[in-house]
Amino acid sequence: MPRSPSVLPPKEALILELLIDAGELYGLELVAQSKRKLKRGTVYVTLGRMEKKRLIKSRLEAPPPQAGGMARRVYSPTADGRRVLAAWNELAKVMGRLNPEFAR
Amino acid sequence: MSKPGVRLRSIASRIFHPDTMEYVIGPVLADLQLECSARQPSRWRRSWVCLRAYLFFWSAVVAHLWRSLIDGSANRTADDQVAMRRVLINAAAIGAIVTAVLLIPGWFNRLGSAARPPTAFDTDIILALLLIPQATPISIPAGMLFGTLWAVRKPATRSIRRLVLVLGIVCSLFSAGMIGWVIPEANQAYRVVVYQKVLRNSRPPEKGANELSWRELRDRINEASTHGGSPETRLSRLAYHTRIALPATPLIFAMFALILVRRPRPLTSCFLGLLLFVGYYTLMVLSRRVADGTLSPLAVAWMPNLVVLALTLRLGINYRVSSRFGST
Repeated sequence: MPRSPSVLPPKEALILELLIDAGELYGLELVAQSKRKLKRGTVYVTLGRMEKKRLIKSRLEAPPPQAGGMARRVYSPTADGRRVLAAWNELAKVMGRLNPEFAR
Repeated sequence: MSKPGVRLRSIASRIFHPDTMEYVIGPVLADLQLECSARQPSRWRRSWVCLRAYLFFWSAVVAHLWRSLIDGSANRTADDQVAMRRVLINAAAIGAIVTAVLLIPGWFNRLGSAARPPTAFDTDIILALLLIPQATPISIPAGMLFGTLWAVRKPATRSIRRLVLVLGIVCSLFSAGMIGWVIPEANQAYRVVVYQKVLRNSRPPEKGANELSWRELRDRINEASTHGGSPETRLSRLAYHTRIALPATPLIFAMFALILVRRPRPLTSCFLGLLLFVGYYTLMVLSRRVADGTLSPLAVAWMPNLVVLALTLRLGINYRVSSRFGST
């Protein structure tokens, strides 16, 4: 059975852009820097999915010294993620030249 | 004093896969802790920040479950994804419409009644809200049955069947929560409001079988059975078994809908679904009136479910045999 064509969803593209600009970010920092385009409730689900696709990678920071403190996860783009975003932006430019509706 | 979210983490770790804990729940809880621990200028501000953090935690859990449900099948096609969304949206929409339709007559009766004592507008709103849980034992199965029949217009693929069955189980669990805990509380609250604010009677009404919690109902049955059977004991036992049997309806209706969508004509399937829906609730009322007294409360409560389940199995076997031998 044919699967739906693979595309880079707008949220994933935005996360990749933010991570490439900043290098490393927490989930909450991503939400803050996206100017309300990313939602706090869904950002970690999207990040988890992107990590499975190997577009980004993550590492755990050292947990805070207080008892019961949990380690925060920091995300950064992978080389694959950078290439996918570059290819996607290039495709968007070409499609925008062919059909101006696509660029909007 | 332990940090906020520690208990949530221990509960979540028993429910979710380790990967989910590591990549979704863990990071969200770490953020929750950071926000709640950060120094805030006032107590109100701190409480508000913590409340928001907890809300975001639960929205992340819901988002994860939703995504898992949608991604549940590795072999899904674009058509499957569209059908899945349609099942979910149609089931929710039909459930909401049925709830509204069930509430409208009672609402208009109250407003139009000449003998109705004058009540404040906010009392009317409270009464209407307390009636909503009453509609769910009918609206949830209706949403499940007609939502599936309306959305799936051809024989369902394996991923659609799985989604509909998972949705049926979720609806059944939700129904169990509503029937077991929410509806008895709402019933009693409704009676108290009517007695105190409409009839101006200060004495709160005594709870009947439909207003008792699980424990109270069990206690009443145990207490009554030591003194010998009575019509009231029988009513309590029937209410008890109905609370167990009725939540199974969404799952059974989901199975029936999956059998019906194999029929070539969608309108005929919807008509048969309507017949089953009306027949189910008619059977439920009739079995209480006719068979009550001759059959045990357990049999009376489960009879409609068993009839529909037998019909579903029979139709399923028929369709399987006819598809194997190539007839239509």
